[in-house]
Amino acid sequence: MKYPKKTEQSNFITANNGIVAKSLSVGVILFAFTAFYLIKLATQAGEYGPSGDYTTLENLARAGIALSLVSAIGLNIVQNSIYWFWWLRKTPVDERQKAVRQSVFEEAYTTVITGIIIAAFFLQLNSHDERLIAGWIAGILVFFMPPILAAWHKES
Amino acid sequence: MIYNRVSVFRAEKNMSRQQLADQAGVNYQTIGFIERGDYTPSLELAFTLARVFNVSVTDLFSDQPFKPLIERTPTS
Repeated sequence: MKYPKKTEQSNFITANNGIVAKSLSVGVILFAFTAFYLIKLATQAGEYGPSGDYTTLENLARAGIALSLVSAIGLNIVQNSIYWFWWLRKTPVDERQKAVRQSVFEEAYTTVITGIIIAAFFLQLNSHDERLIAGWIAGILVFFMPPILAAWHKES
Repeated sequence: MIYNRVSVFRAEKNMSRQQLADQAGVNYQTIGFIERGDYTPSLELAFTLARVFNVSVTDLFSDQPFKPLIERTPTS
């Protein structure tokens, strides 16, 4: 009996739920929190050091947010735009993917709300730029938490 | 737990997962999940898969483990 070629049977010929999606999901979180750390450093530098340090660190923080956003959009595209940007989808979403999407949205909602409540208690935002960067991070996480969680979901 | 013989019929028909997925109207990864028993399809998809293989749903899916074909007695 002639079996189909192994490559035709493989579940891993696309990046969906593979190493690319996982790397991008880590990138989104890593760049976002690095940006927040940098803007905190920038505030300290602005208070105690020369203003040039502040500008450099602030620009690096903005670059971190931009990279986080690019990673998040890339992650969504790698996942066949199941979560956002539906007009970029190459194939329609089937019943299993819809079921996964449903559970991932529920998990993402709980995670983000919990994270925001904890952050509201413990985060100190001392300057306008810190609030701006924190707002961007919150926006990215609210919007892109479903694809981030889906990258690690064993059924996606 | 629902058992299935999708991979057996697919190999018999010499189809790839992608080809089966195209005919059933699902993502090819969904076929892999069904074959491994990680996902139980809806009735609609079960009937569609059975139609693709030209067999009955009970030939394809069961709530009991399938016996190897060699152990089965002829029905007629």
